[in-house]
Formats: sequence, structure tokens, C-alpha cells
Amino acid sequence: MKKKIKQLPTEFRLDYEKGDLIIKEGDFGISIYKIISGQVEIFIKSDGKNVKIATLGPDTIIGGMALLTGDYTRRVASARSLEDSILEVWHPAMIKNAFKAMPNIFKLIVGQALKNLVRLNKMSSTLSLEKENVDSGKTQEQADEIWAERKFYRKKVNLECYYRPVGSPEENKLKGQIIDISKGGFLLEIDTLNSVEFSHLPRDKFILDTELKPDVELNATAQIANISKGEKDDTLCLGMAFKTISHENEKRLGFYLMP
Amino acid sequence: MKITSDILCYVVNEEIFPDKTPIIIEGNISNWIYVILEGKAKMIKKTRKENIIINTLKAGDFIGEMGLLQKGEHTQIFTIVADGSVTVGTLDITQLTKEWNTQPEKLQQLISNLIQKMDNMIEKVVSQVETSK
Repeated sequence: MKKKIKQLPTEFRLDYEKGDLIIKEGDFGISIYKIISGQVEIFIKSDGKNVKIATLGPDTIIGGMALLTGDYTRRVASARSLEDSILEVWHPAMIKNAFKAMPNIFKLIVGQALKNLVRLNKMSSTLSLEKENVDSGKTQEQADEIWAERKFYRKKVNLECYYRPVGSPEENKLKGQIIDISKGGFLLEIDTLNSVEFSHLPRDKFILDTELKPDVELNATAQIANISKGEKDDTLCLGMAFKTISHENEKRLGFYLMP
Repeated sequence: MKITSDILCYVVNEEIFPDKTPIIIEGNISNWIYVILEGKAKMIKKTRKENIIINTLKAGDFIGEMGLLQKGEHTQIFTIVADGSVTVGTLDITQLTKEWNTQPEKLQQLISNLIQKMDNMIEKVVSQVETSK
């Protein structure tokens, strides 16, 4: 009997005109794009506005991070053609098996590069915030004002929660662990790789869902006040201050915090 | 971190670097790749203003690995300095290069692109440090 050979998808090229949307934030997509010519802008929606992340040129690859991290989620940013551009589209199946079969030492090297990239992203975010504070004449103390708002009784907890940037679809949610909580905010422990998925900058706002007790949910929006290294390896701790919380949710939290 | 046989099978030599000795120097062209077998090392980036510590590497972490994943000669973009006495294993670069070159081109491009993103991010951080007040 003839063995049927599974045909892998082949790459193809697409032409985009200036202004064309290539990838839409929130959509489910697995294709990897290589810019052959032209320029592409990467942006995210935040508070209803488009926030530019980067401008990329020829030979840059977009949408390949999921294959390296093994975490296929919805697209975390949009990509738009800034001029007439040509992009080569790859199906991940073309390289997924090769990645799996790659000697382990290369996978370890890639893992180290990903961690360094996350660390550098974090350094860059901290430096941006410091600059913003200096430019606006704020002292660090003033910048930490929102964090000071949570100087209430803090309860040590271990609550699983889901969070996503304000304005992004629910499918974008990531998992974290609340390790202490007060009336003013909470400390959220996350995997460092979460910051590859979307921006985790001080002052970024997130929608939070957690269950305080069985059938007692807490929904609120909260803002990153500060970021520090987590106690466990490969974790970050986000100091979060509540920004909007309904009266009902505030009441639930109040009861939960009662000794 | 436990160093597995996946890494040890590429170690061809061991070297000890005393405290504060540079293992690789930023700006030098080098194709050596090391793995830390014991001890710690600081990953330092020079800026016109100050030296910044990017990371502290520990057992199981690689040094000089970015050169392997990019085509052509690679100029070291960090200085790595021993933080206490460090034992490193020199990896068999000939074998690694041979195996890397047999990987499909698209996979090589994808990973090289990740290294490029890191290079760009380092430049961004350096420029932020240099322009900070």
C-alpha cells in the first residue's frame, strides 16, 4: 500500500496597501509573517486609543513568539501596513515539528534569550516611567501616591485570578496569583512570560476577575503601581491599586477582609 | 539549575575564572560559547553614563550564545564578569554550529529574529539610560 505523505502548507506572499490591517488584536491567528518589503506598525488598543509599540521593516518576523513559547493565545497586538508592503506568510506547521525536534541545547538557549528579552522590556518600562516622572516634575514619592492608597490592613491570600488590559477582549486574559489583598489594592504574582503577551507597564490598567470564596466573585479594574521580582524564579510581582470597583464588589471585599 | 547531559555532552573544556575576571568583553569578536557549571557571573552593559547590570547568570546559563544564533561574526554586546569564582564549560562550537546549520532555514530565521529583538531592546535601554537626567 502506498503511504500517504502529509502535505505541509507552503508559504505564500501577500501584498498590502498603505493602511491595510494585517493582524487584528484579539483575533485568533497562528500564521507567522515575514516582512519582505515595506514597513509595518505594531500597535495595541489602550483606553480606546491606538498605542504604537514598534515600526518594523524588511526581514522582521511577526507573530512567531507563540511558536517559541508554545503558548497559542489570541493576537495581543495589531499590525498595519504603513506603506505598500509585501509579506510572506508561513503556517506554523512548517516549523513546529522542526522546533520540537531541535536539540535540547538550542531550546535552552532560546529560553534564556526569551527571559532576557522579558527582563530588558521590564528595564525599559521602568526607565520610561522614571523619565515620565522627572519630565513631569514628580518625585518618586508622588509617583507612588496611588500605591500609598492601599496602606490598609493586608490579608495574606492565595487567590487564582484572571486579568487582561482594559479595552481588550476577554479571550486575552492571563492567569496570576493574588498573594495579598487590601481595600486599596493587591499584590499579583505572575509568570514573567506574561509580559511577553502584552504590556505590563506601571500605570497600565487591567480588568480583574477572581473568586474570593466559592461563589463570591470580585470584579474590578486596577492599575499597576509598581513591579518587582517575585520570590519564585521566573515570576514578577505587580503592586496593583484598585481604580474602579462597584459598591457591591467593595462590600464583598470588605466582608472578606474581616478578621 | 541541574546541568543535564543535553548540555554536558557539548562541554570540551572547563575553565575557572576568579572573582571579577571578565569572561567575555563587550566589543570583542568572539565565537566561544560557555555554560556556567558552578558559580555566578554578572551580565554588564556599558553606556556613556554608567555600567548597567542586565542580569546575574547562574549554573546552567549560557555565555556568548547569541553569536551562534546569528549569521556571521558576532561582536559581543555585553561584558560578562565573574561574581566570585566561576567554573565554566567551553562548548564544542564546531559541533553546535554544524547542528545549528542543519536546522530548517525558517526556524533559524525565527530564532535569529528573537536575538535581533533583544539587540534592539538593549540599544533602547542604553539610549534611555544615556538620556535620563
